[in-house]
Amino acid sequence: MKLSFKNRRGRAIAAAIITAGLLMPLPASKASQEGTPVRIIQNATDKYIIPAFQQFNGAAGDLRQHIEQLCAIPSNAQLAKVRADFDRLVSNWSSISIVRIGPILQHNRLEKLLFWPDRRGIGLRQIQAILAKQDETAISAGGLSQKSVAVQGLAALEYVLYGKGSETLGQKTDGFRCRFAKAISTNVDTISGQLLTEWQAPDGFAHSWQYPAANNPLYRDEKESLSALVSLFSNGLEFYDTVEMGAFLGITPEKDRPRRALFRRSGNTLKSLQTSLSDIQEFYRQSELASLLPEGSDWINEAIEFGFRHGIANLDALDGSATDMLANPQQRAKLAYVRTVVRGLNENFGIDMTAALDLTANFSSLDGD
Amino acid sequence: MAGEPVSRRDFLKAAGLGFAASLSPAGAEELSRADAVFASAYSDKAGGFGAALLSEDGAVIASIPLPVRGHDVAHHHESGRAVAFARRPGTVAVAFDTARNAPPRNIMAAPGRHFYGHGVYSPDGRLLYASENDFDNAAGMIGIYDVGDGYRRIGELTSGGTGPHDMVLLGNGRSLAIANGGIETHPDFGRTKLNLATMEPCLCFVDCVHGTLLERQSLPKQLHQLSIRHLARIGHNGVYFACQYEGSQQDHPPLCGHAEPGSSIRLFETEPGALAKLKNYIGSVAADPQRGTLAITSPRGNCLLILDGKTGSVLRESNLANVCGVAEGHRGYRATTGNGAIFDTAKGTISNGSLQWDNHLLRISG
Repeated sequence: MKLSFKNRRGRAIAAAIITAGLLMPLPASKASQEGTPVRIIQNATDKYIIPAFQQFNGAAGDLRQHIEQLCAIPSNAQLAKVRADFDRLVSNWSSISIVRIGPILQHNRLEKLLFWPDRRGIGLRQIQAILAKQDETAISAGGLSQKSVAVQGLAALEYVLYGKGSETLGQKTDGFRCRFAKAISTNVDTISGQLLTEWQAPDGFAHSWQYPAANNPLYRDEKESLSALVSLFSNGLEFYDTVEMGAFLGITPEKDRPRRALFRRSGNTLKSLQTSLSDIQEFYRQSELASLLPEGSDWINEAIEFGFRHGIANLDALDGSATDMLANPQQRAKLAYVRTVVRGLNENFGIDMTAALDLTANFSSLDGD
Repeated sequence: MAGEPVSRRDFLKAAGLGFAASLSPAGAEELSRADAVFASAYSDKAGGFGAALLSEDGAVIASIPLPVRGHDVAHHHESGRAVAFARRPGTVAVAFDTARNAPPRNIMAAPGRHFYGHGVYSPDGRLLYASENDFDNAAGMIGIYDVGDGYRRIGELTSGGTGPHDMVLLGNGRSLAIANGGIETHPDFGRTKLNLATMEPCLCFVDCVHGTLLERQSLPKQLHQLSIRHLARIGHNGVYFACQYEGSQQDHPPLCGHAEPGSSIRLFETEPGALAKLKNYIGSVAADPQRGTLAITSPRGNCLLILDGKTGSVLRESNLANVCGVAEGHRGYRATTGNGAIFDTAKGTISNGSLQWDNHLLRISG
């Protein structure tokens, strides 16, 4: 992630916290303002997470605006501009993909932004049905957010912008496909704004995470806050290994599934993997988590840096689509190597770092078992 | 699993020669003094996995290695047979037929199925039921195994929902209560939850003789992300159920309750302060019918709560790092932690070893 702190719009987006019936949230914590924040968490939120969400929000706004212009005055040049915006949005998504905590886990926002993996192709079927029927209820104001989560986010937008028939976007004024793209990009823009607002609010998620307290319903003490951070790394690396890579890279070449690669239609598969891993490294460094390691545990940081260095270097030596990479034995071997490295990184965080910092993470606690 | 602790003679019979043969001298001495046992899966510090039998005072009496990380153990008292299940999405369970002095035997999941980590024997010990995933169809199944025929898989039942997890047999010996957590997973994507936006957990009662769905009980619609995962039988016909919430961590829905066939499923209204401590996650539940209580554990919230069995109000809280396994003991509850501690609610921490206990602790008793 290239950090740029410009606040493009500065508009406020009200966060609608909807609760119904039994889902009554507890009273907001009155974590003491006098207390000092957990330094590592403050680093994580202020130096990485919030800037990353700002960039995602910025890219989503640009894309929405340029799609509006495309619909009004279609041209191939404008379509190329929109697609470049989409590529940038995917890259920014890859930066925040690891931050699966807090606001993105509310109101199905994660699934709305990216419904993937979609093992049974539910999203594709639904998107194609909306396009075929020219379903106006999907693109009316507020209509899309009432539809299936699978048609609301980046995977749907990718199909609309790059899938079969997308060339008409550069030709037809105010065509249904373009208005559908506009509706999706507006939805993504709205959600990205909500995420940023909720992270940044004075009593928002970043604050709750930074100031654990006995009366803080989310984090009672520093160890809980730190465990949540370490878990982000280990869970994020597990997802990277088993899903983002495992979706298309089989144990053996016979089990490869290049068509299941994330963002394959837009040619962003490799870019997304590269951005994700180098930004997980960036996130780790910015947090200064390693500074907490006790004497004698430096090797954990060294192992982690080794893993990132070699994983990133091997990804940087790759080229092409998932199909291209899998078809080339040297490239495929590099992918398999990266997967092994990422698995090792997962253990460095989930087992070694957790033990060295005496935290509760991973063993029996984060499994959903 | 209510009842009197097993006698020493019963234990020796249950633990059998298969275990005794692998005991160290110290362990053999321990075994001779033991008067009740618990069972649990574990990980060791060298990265190995196994299942262990524990004495009343928390000593490891015997253990068997497991090829993968285990989850829960099923046990049939009269025959001394037991099975340790792999954690989801594992494809192996290890049976130990101690009374016959047979070596441990691997049970492999059928093609297109994986285990969820829980199972139960039929009252006569002839059949084993295991919660399984028909992953290509995202359909919950209960695999049926013929114990006497080398645990040959002889059929399956539908669990009545997606993602079956824990199950218990009711007092009639043929109705299975099944916690269908509602979460779709597929081994192609590891442990990733594939349907959080649309999940529909339910608690099903299934006649395991005819395979008929007797009743499906669901929570209110706004709680569709409250995954029903674990069960403890209470009385002849009832179960306590315990949940894990997949929605926002800012929500604090109730997490456990009581259900029985023919009645409406009921969630306990736990006090907000205690509820917040659970971090929307209960890892295990156990019942003590004699005292009219249940115990729930939260490894995320590092706590064990004892609740009134009728109202769900909190009677006692214990803070325990990484606690998850819990079973009823002599004078209270016995709990295990992922950090290696064994805790007794009447005595405090009774043991602290190097084995990291997995999510469940089973009381082996009559």
